[in-house]
Amino acid sequence: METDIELIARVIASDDHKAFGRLVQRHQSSVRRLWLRLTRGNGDLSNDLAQDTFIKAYRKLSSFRGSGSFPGWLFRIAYNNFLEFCRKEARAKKLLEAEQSIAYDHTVETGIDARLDIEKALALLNLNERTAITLCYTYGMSHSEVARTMDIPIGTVKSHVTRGKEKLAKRLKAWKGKTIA
Amino acid sequence: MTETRANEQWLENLLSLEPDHIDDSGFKAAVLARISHQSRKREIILWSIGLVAASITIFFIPTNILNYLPYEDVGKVFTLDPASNSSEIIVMLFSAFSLLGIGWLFSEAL
Repeated sequence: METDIELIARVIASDDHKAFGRLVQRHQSSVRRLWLRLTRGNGDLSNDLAQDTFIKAYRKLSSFRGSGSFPGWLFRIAYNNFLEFCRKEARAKKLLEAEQSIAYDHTVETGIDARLDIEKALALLNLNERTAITLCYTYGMSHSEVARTMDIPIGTVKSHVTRGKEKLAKRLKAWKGKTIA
Repeated sequence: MTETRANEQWLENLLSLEPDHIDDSGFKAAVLARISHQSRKREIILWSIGLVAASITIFFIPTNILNYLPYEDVGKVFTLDPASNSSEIIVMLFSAFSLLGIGWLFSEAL
Protein backbone atom coordinates (compact mmCIF):
# COMPACT_ATOMS: atom_id res chain seq x y z
CA MET A 1 0.00 0.00 0.00
CA GLU A 2 1.35 3.41 -0.96
CA THR A 3 2.10 5.85 1.85
CA ASP A 4 0.51 9.30 2.06
CA ILE A 5 3.82 10.88 0.98
CA GLU A 6 4.01 8.69 -2.14
CA LEU A 7 0.44 9.54 -3.10
CA ILE A 8 1.04 13.25 -2.49
CA ALA A 9 4.15 13.11 -4.69
CA ARG A 10 2.08 11.56 -7.49
CA VAL A 11 -0.58 14.26 -7.21
CA ILE A 12 2.02 17.04 -7.30
CA ALA A 13 4.06 15.49 -10.13
CA SER A 14 1.27 14.56 -12.51
CA ASP A 15 -1.97 16.01 -11.13
CA ASP A 16 -3.07 12.44 -10.50
CA HIS A 17 -6.72 12.60 -9.43
CA LYS A 18 -6.77 8.87 -8.71
CA ALA A 19 -3.97 9.25 -6.17
CA PHE A 20 -5.78 12.17 -4.55
CA GLY A 21 -8.95 10.07 -4.49
CA ARG A 22 -7.08 7.45 -2.47
CA LEU A 23 -5.96 10.12 0.00
CA VAL A 24 -9.56 11.29 0.32
CA GLN A 25 -10.77 7.74 0.85
CA ARG A 26 -8.10 7.11 3.48
CA HIS A 27 -8.74 10.26 5.54
CA GLN A 28 -12.36 11.18 4.85
CA SER A 29 -13.69 9.49 7.97
CA SER A 30 -11.39 11.33 10.40
CA VAL A 31 -11.85 14.70 8.68
CA ARG A 32 -15.62 14.28 8.58
CA ARG A 33 -15.61 13.19 12.24
CA LEU A 34 -13.69 16.33 13.18
CA TRP A 35 -16.17 18.43 11.22
CA LEU A 36 -19.07 16.71 12.95
CA ARG A 37 -17.52 17.68 16.28
CA LEU A 38 -16.81 21.26 15.16
CA THR A 39 -20.36 21.71 13.90
CA ARG A 40 -21.90 19.95 16.91
CA GLY A 41 -23.23 17.06 14.86
CA ASN A 42 -24.65 18.91 11.84
CA GLY A 43 -24.26 16.17 9.20
CA ASP A 44 -25.05 18.11 6.01
CA LEU A 45 -22.99 21.13 6.96
CA SER A 46 -20.05 19.03 8.08
CA ASN A 47 -20.09 17.08 4.81
CA ASP A 48 -20.06 20.27 2.72
CA LEU A 49 -17.27 21.76 4.78
CA ALA A 50 -15.29 18.51 4.75
CA GLN A 51 -15.47 18.58 0.93
CA ASP A 52 -14.20 22.17 0.98
CA THR A 53 -11.33 21.04 3.22
CA PHE A 54 -10.20 18.41 0.70
CA ILE A 55 -10.54 20.81 -2.23
CA LYS A 56 -8.42 23.38 -0.41
CA ALA A 57 -5.93 20.64 0.47
CA TYR A 58 -5.73 19.64 -3.19
CA ARG A 59 -4.94 23.21 -4.22
CA LYS A 60 -2.36 23.68 -1.48
CA LEU A 61 -0.83 20.22 -1.68
CA SER A 62 2.49 21.48 -3.01
CA SER A 63 2.91 23.50 0.21
CA PHE A 64 2.77 20.32 2.34
CA ARG A 65 6.34 19.96 3.60
CA GLY A 66 5.95 16.59 5.28
CA SER A 67 7.26 17.88 8.61
CA GLY A 68 4.10 16.74 10.39
CA SER A 69 1.54 14.09 9.56
CA PHE A 70 -0.78 14.52 6.58
CA PRO A 71 -3.93 14.15 8.74
CA GLY A 72 -2.53 16.86 11.05
CA TRP A 73 -2.11 19.13 8.04
CA LEU A 74 -5.68 18.35 6.93
CA PHE A 75 -7.00 19.12 10.41
CA ARG A 76 -5.23 22.48 10.33
CA ILE A 77 -6.94 23.33 7.04
CA ALA A 78 -10.28 22.15 8.45
CA TYR A 79 -9.92 24.19 11.63
CA ASN A 80 -8.92 27.34 9.71
CA ASN A 81 -11.83 26.72 7.34
CA PHE A 82 -14.14 26.50 10.29
CA LEU A 83 -12.94 29.79 11.77
CA GLU A 84 -13.33 31.44 8.35
CA PHE A 85 -16.81 29.97 8.01
CA CYS A 86 -17.75 31.31 11.45
CA ARG A 87 -16.58 34.80 10.51
CA LYS A 88 -18.62 34.82 7.31
CA GLU A 89 -21.79 32.93 8.11
CA ALA A 90 -24.47 34.09 10.49
CA ARG A 91 -25.70 30.53 10.96
CA ALA A 92 -22.35 29.65 12.49
CA LYS A 93 -23.06 31.83 15.52
CA LYS A 94 -24.90 28.99 17.19
CA LEU A 95 -21.89 26.72 16.75
CA LEU A 96 -19.63 29.14 18.55
CA GLU A 97 -21.95 29.85 21.42
CA ALA A 98 -20.55 28.72 24.69
CA GLU A 99 -22.42 26.51 27.06
CA GLN A 100 -24.10 29.41 28.83
CA SER A 101 -27.48 27.78 28.99
CA ILE A 102 -26.16 24.50 30.27
CA ALA A 103 -25.39 23.93 33.90
CA TYR A 104 -21.78 23.05 34.58
CA ASP A 105 -22.60 19.70 36.14
CA HIS A 106 -25.23 18.80 33.56
CA THR A 107 -24.87 15.11 32.76
CA VAL A 108 -25.62 13.62 29.36
CA GLU A 109 -24.83 9.98 29.85
CA THR A 110 -27.27 7.20 29.47
CA GLY A 111 -24.63 4.64 30.32
CA ILE A 112 -25.66 2.53 27.32
CA ASP A 113 -23.71 3.78 24.31
CA ALA A 114 -20.35 5.28 25.23
CA ARG A 115 -19.67 6.78 21.80
CA LEU A 116 -23.03 8.49 21.69
CA ASP A 117 -22.58 9.88 25.19
CA ILE A 118 -19.11 11.18 24.33
CA GLU A 119 -20.48 13.01 21.28
CA LYS A 120 -23.26 14.56 23.36
CA ALA A 121 -20.88 15.57 26.14
CA LEU A 122 -18.36 17.06 23.72
CA ALA A 123 -21.10 19.09 22.02
CA LEU A 124 -21.61 20.87 25.33
CA LEU A 125 -18.03 22.14 25.47
CA ASN A 126 -16.93 25.38 23.88
CA LEU A 127 -15.15 25.29 20.52
CA ASN A 128 -11.57 25.43 21.81
CA GLU A 129 -12.06 22.77 24.45
CA ARG A 130 -13.97 20.55 22.02
CA THR A 131 -11.28 20.83 19.35
CA ALA A 132 -8.33 20.39 21.72
CA ILE A 133 -9.87 17.32 23.38
CA THR A 134 -10.79 15.78 20.02
CA LEU A 135 -7.33 16.26 18.56
CA CYS A 136 -5.56 15.06 21.70
CA TYR A 137 -7.61 12.01 22.57
CA THR A 138 -9.57 10.91 19.50
CA TYR A 139 -6.66 11.47 17.11
CA GLY A 140 -3.81 10.97 19.58
CA MET A 141 -2.01 14.20 18.72
CA SER A 142 0.55 15.67 21.08
CA HIS A 143 -0.05 19.05 22.73
CA SER A 144 2.53 20.68 20.45
CA GLU A 145 0.82 19.27 17.33
CA VAL A 146 -2.54 20.54 18.59
CA ALA A 147 -0.96 23.94 19.26
CA ARG A 148 0.28 24.04 15.64
CA THR A 149 -3.09 22.93 14.30
CA MET A 150 -5.06 25.48 16.30
CA ASP A 151 -2.35 28.12 16.00
CA ILE A 152 -2.33 28.85 19.72
CA PRO A 153 0.39 28.54 22.41
CA ILE A 154 0.98 25.11 23.90
CA GLY A 155 0.07 26.37 27.38
CA THR A 156 -3.33 27.46 26.10
CA VAL A 157 -3.88 24.00 24.61
CA LYS A 158 -3.10 22.43 27.97
CA SER A 159 -5.55 24.67 29.79
CA HIS A 160 -8.29 23.98 27.21
CA VAL A 161 -7.69 20.25 27.65
CA THR A 162 -7.70 20.46 31.44
CA ARG A 163 -10.86 22.56 31.59
CA GLY A 164 -12.57 20.38 29.00
CA LYS A 165 -11.68 17.23 30.89
CA GLU A 166 -13.00 18.63 34.16
CA LYS A 167 -16.36 19.31 32.52
CA LEU A 168 -16.44 15.98 30.75
CA ALA A 169 -15.59 14.08 33.93
CA LYS A 170 -18.73 15.49 35.54
CA ARG A 171 -20.89 14.90 32.51
CA LEU A 172 -19.72 11.38 31.86
CA LYS A 173 -19.41 10.22 35.45
CA ALA A 174 -21.77 7.31 34.86
CA TRP A 175 -19.00 5.69 32.83
CA LYS A 176 -16.46 5.78 35.64
CA GLY A 177 -15.40 2.27 36.46
CA LYS A 178 -17.39 0.72 33.63
CA THR A 179 -15.80 -1.59 31.08
CA ILE A 180 -16.27 -0.19 27.62
CA ALA A 181 -16.60 -2.48 24.65
CA MET B 1 -0.07 6.16 40.06
CA THR B 2 -1.51 8.99 42.12
CA GLU B 3 -5.18 9.08 42.91
CA THR B 4 -5.70 12.10 40.65
CA ARG B 5 -4.05 10.28 37.75
CA ALA B 6 -6.20 7.20 38.36
CA ASN B 7 -9.25 9.43 38.44
CA GLU B 8 -8.29 10.88 35.07
CA GLN B 9 -7.43 7.56 33.46
CA TRP B 10 -11.00 6.31 33.07
CA LEU B 11 -11.92 9.54 31.25
CA GLU B 12 -8.89 9.41 28.98
CA ASN B 13 -9.70 5.80 28.10
CA LEU B 14 -13.26 6.79 27.37
CA LEU B 15 -12.25 9.74 25.19
CA SER B 16 -9.67 7.68 23.33
CA LEU B 17 -12.35 5.27 22.14
CA GLU B 18 -12.03 5.01 18.39
CA PRO B 19 -15.10 6.69 16.90
CA ASP B 20 -17.29 4.80 14.45
CA HIS B 21 -15.89 4.81 10.93
CA ILE B 22 -17.88 7.02 8.57
CA ASP B 23 -18.55 5.28 5.26
CA ASP B 24 -17.37 7.01 2.12
CA SER B 25 -20.81 6.69 0.45
CA GLY B 26 -20.05 8.96 -2.48
CA PHE B 27 -17.92 11.46 -0.58
CA LYS B 28 -14.75 10.79 -2.57
CA ALA B 29 -16.66 10.96 -5.87
CA ALA B 30 -18.20 14.30 -4.85
CA VAL B 31 -14.80 15.77 -3.94
CA LEU B 32 -13.20 14.60 -7.20
CA ALA B 33 -16.13 15.89 -9.26
CA ARG B 34 -15.80 19.33 -7.65
CA ILE B 35 -12.04 19.35 -8.24
CA SER B 36 -12.49 18.44 -11.93
CA HIS B 37 -15.17 21.09 -12.34
CA GLN B 38 -12.99 23.75 -10.74
CA SER B 39 -9.95 22.78 -12.83
CA ARG B 40 -12.07 22.99 -15.98
CA LYS B 41 -13.46 26.34 -14.91
CA ARG B 42 -9.96 27.72 -14.38
CA GLU B 43 -8.84 26.39 -17.77
CA ILE B 44 -11.86 27.97 -19.46
CA ILE B 45 -11.28 31.31 -17.79
CA LEU B 46 -7.64 31.27 -18.92
CA TRP B 47 -8.64 30.42 -22.49
CA SER B 48 -11.26 33.16 -22.46
CA ILE B 49 -8.75 35.72 -21.22
CA GLY B 50 -6.37 34.59 -23.98
CA LEU B 51 -9.04 34.93 -26.65
CA VAL B 52 -10.12 38.35 -25.42
CA ALA B 53 -6.51 39.50 -25.40
CA ALA B 54 -6.01 38.12 -28.93
CA SER B 55 -9.15 39.86 -30.20
CA ILE B 56 -8.14 43.18 -28.66
CA THR B 57 -4.67 42.85 -30.12
CA ILE B 58 -6.04 42.17 -33.59
CA PHE B 59 -8.49 45.08 -33.41
CA PHE B 60 -6.16 47.67 -32.03
CA ILE B 61 -2.72 46.69 -33.23
CA PRO B 62 -1.28 49.68 -34.99
CA THR B 63 -1.16 49.07 -38.69
CA ASN B 64 2.14 50.82 -39.11
CA ILE B 65 3.85 48.42 -36.63
CA LEU B 66 2.77 45.47 -38.72
CA ASN B 67 3.98 47.21 -41.78
CA TYR B 68 7.49 47.21 -40.31
CA LEU B 69 7.48 43.41 -40.20
CA PRO B 70 10.06 41.95 -42.54
CA TYR B 71 7.39 39.88 -44.25
CA GLU B 72 5.49 42.31 -46.34
CA ASP B 73 2.63 39.95 -47.10
CA VAL B 74 1.92 39.32 -43.42
CA GLY B 75 1.87 43.04 -42.82
CA LYS B 76 -0.59 43.54 -45.63
CA VAL B 77 -2.97 40.85 -44.46
CA PHE B 78 -3.37 42.47 -41.05
CA THR B 79 -3.56 46.09 -42.11
CA LEU B 80 -6.90 47.69 -41.51
CA ASP B 81 -6.70 49.54 -44.72
CA PRO B 82 -10.29 50.25 -45.91
CA ALA B 83 -9.10 49.61 -49.41
CA SER B 84 -8.10 46.10 -48.51
CA ASN B 85 -11.31 44.05 -48.18
CA SER B 86 -9.53 40.78 -47.55
CA SER B 87 -7.81 42.02 -44.37
CA GLU B 88 -11.08 43.34 -42.93
CA ILE B 89 -12.85 40.06 -43.59
CA ILE B 90 -10.08 38.10 -41.87
CA VAL B 91 -10.17 40.35 -38.80
CA MET B 92 -13.97 40.24 -38.61
CA LEU B 93 -14.06 36.48 -39.00
CA PHE B 94 -11.40 36.02 -36.35
CA SER B 95 -13.24 38.31 -33.97
CA ALA B 96 -16.57 36.60 -34.61
CA PHE B 97 -15.05 33.18 -33.95
CA SER B 98 -13.32 34.50 -30.84
CA LEU B 99 -16.60 35.85 -29.49
CA LEU B 100 -18.39 32.61 -30.29
CA GLY B 101 -15.57 30.72 -28.62
CA ILE B 102 -15.73 32.87 -25.51
CA GLY B 103 -19.51 32.44 -25.35
CA TRP B 104 -19.20 28.69 -25.63
CA LEU B 105 -16.42 28.51 -23.06
CA PHE B 106 -18.44 30.52 -20.54
CA SER B 107 -21.53 28.40 -21.11
CA GLU B 108 -19.36 25.34 -20.39
CA ALA B 109 -17.98 26.93 -17.24
CA LEU B 110 -21.42 27.61 -15.77
